[in-house]
Amino acid sequence: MPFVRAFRLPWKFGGGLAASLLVAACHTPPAAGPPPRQPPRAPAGEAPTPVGEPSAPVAPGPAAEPPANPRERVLLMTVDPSTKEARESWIERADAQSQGYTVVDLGESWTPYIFREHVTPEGQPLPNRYRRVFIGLANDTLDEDGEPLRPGAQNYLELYGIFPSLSVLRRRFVEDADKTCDDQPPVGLTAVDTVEALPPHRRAAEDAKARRLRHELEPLRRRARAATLDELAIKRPDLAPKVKLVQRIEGAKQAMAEAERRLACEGFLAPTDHHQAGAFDDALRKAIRRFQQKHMVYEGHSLRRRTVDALARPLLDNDHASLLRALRERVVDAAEILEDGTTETRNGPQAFVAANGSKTPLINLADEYTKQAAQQLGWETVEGALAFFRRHEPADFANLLVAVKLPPRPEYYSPDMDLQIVIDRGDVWYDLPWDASGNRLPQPRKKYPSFTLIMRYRGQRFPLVRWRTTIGGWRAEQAPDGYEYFRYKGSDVGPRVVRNVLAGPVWIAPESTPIRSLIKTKALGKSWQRVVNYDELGPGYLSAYGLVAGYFVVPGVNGRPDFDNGIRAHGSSDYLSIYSDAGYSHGCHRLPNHLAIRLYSFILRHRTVHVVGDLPLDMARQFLRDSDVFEMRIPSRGYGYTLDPPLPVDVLEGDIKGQLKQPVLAYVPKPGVRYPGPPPPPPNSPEARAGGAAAAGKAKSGRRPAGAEAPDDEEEATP
Amino acid sequence: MRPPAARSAVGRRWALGAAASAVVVALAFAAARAEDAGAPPPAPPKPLSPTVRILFQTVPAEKAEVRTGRKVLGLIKGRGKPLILERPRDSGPLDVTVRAEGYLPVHTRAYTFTDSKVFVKITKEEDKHTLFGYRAELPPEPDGGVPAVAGTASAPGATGPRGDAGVPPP
Repeated sequence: MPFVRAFRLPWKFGGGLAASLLVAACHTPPAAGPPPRQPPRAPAGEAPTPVGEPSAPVAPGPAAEPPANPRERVLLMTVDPSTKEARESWIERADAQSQGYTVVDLGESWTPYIFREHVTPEGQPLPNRYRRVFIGLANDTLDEDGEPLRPGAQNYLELYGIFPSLSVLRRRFVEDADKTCDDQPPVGLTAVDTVEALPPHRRAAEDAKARRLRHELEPLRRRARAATLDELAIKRPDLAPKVKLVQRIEGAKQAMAEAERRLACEGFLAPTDHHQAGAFDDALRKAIRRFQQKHMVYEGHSLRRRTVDALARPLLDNDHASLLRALRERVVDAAEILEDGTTETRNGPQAFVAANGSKTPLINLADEYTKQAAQQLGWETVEGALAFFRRHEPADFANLLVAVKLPPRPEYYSPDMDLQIVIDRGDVWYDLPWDASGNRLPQPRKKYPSFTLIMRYRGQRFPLVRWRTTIGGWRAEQAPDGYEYFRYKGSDVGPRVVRNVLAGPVWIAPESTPIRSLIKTKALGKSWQRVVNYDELGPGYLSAYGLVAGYFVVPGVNGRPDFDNGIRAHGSSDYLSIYSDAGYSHGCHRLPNHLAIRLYSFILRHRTVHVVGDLPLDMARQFLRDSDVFEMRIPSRGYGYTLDPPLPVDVLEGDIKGQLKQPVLAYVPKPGVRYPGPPPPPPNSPEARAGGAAAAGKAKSGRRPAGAEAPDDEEEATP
Repeated sequence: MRPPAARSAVGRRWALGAAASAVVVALAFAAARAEDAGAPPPAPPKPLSPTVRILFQTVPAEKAEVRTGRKVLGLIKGRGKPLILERPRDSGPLDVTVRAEGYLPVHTRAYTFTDSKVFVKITKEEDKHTLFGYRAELPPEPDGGVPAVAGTASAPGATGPRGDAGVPPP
């Protein structure tokens, strides 16, 4: 394979890149302040040079032969400013780094930092159980259990924090470029914001209504000599409501038909799915969910605004958006950054006073660096990305590393950043959310819970990211009598720390977990069988703790162990609980998986950390369902990292709404359910206390309440 | 309600798990900190075998069949005669059902990350009430099945003890 290729750049690939690729050597992305800890950086004395600033050119110089080791050769793209021709060349990884490039891993075996494998000081590997599965999921080769994916099946897991590999994206680009199913302009979809979810019987009724109205309006239109119904509505304002109604019904029908065509085109609706055309049935709902997962649309499983917009876009446009999202995760990981613009306010970005006294705005580094990388790779347009994928064989992506020149990181970056997590619980309701008849009572919130990572630098505090999160609320819980009750599962208030971070964490379901949620059916060979729902336990993207969790504890004093009340800040596949008005957790602070991965990867690389590695557990627990025994067998807690010193956390109480100012501690019977007797007392274990007295601020000191049992290390809060 | 005996068994198992976990974490920390104390030069990592051995045994030791789906993987032939399977290393979990005559079937899982021993506790059918998740039968309805009036038996807080914070009528 030739190692230097020349090609014509797509039209947007500007000459500015030429300059950016020919700047003086400096390590990227260096902090403008103290030197970073790792990986090896530029020689001392070399000032970081922002991209775009002219400087002494350093020709990347294609190697005479590409380096033999595919993990040591890096693809570099350079541009001839006069001919606008770009060249691909290979250089040694070490050379790229010494010339100030950031090496971005676009290979198939990439994982975020938290899933990297480390070694002990003695050089023995510390393998990560979930790494292989993560890579297999990203490459569409394994399923969530780590078993081979059936031929042709695809994992669409962006919404769950696992972005497709470049090989998968290449296949999508190349295949979609040849498809013609998006050739027709989606007139119906672009004309509507949402498409009403009509069950089959209402679909037929709506169609009949539209036909009736048409039948009624058409003679009137002819009589009024109107060319269209719109014209009729102007000439006969009394008929305008009927015109509007028939247009709404017909518009929705057309949009639905286009949505169905598009979903079928992308392989989400097959004839065997038995979808009834025009109806919002299970087949369509499932197809929409898969489509949303593929295109990272955070929305309920119906045809709402963002979903409709994505359906209306050309296939390759959506593929391009997927590519940029995947690139963003790789760039963020390579550059070890986090800032994503989420702290910006109406008045613009937050700012800090730099060492030279200047007020410096915070930059959306994730966007900026991704944009730079995309531009340098020629991926800023669909055409450029498609051309790149067509130039490269699938095998090229197995170990692809690319070199990009990124602007320097802000001066507050260092190997040991002074960070703090602040959780604001927002508006909090302790009142029961239903009345005596079981009717839901509204509990509106104006201020939702937020997760903020604060940077403390030169006497200032400023937020690096601010994301929506969850707090606890009323949840169903299984009592020792085998029946389900409601229980308030709140979120602790006050100072805490994160000492331990687990990648691929396992949630050890406490006995209060409803058994129905611990069982699922699974295909084993040619038969379906009930098994323990390990999806919920983990490790995995569907785990109750998501793909990574930080454990909130009150640090022990005088040699005592930490006080763990079962609260974590963790990734979650239940993204709707994070973004919906009525979303609550069981006390933990949930984040979308990809943000949790970014967060902890960032924290672990900018604090002093001990890599503990796999935490074997060898735990088994049985429970009965009907006449079968199910054994929950957990071999490991996850892959452990310990922060030393731990990361400080402050959980703000928020604004308590409603009548109750403290949470209810007892089980509350579910309305309309018969019970064998009065509710048993709730268990007095760490997970039981989570959301009890501590949620009301009584346990801020972290001392164990008098008479409480010692924390059972193996039993965990429902997150 | 789960009998005390069952509770204590679970508690013992969890306590053992906790102790094991704590020891492992402590050892891992010790290893991590050894570097600071000037550890000897690293030895090359030992190569792992391409397969793992999984041992299945029932507790109490009884003859039992081990299946995955409809496929019979083998038999446990009683005390000292476990079923031993060899699987490719790190090839995903193995979901199995263990069936012994007179006992409730147990659905469990074995992993292929390392060699492992799967001791499966089996429970006699007549002892199912000792298992967590067993639901006590509801007492017969005194009113012959007429639903309770809303706000009485099923009203939140009406039948249960109040927590410290109290549960006011909704």
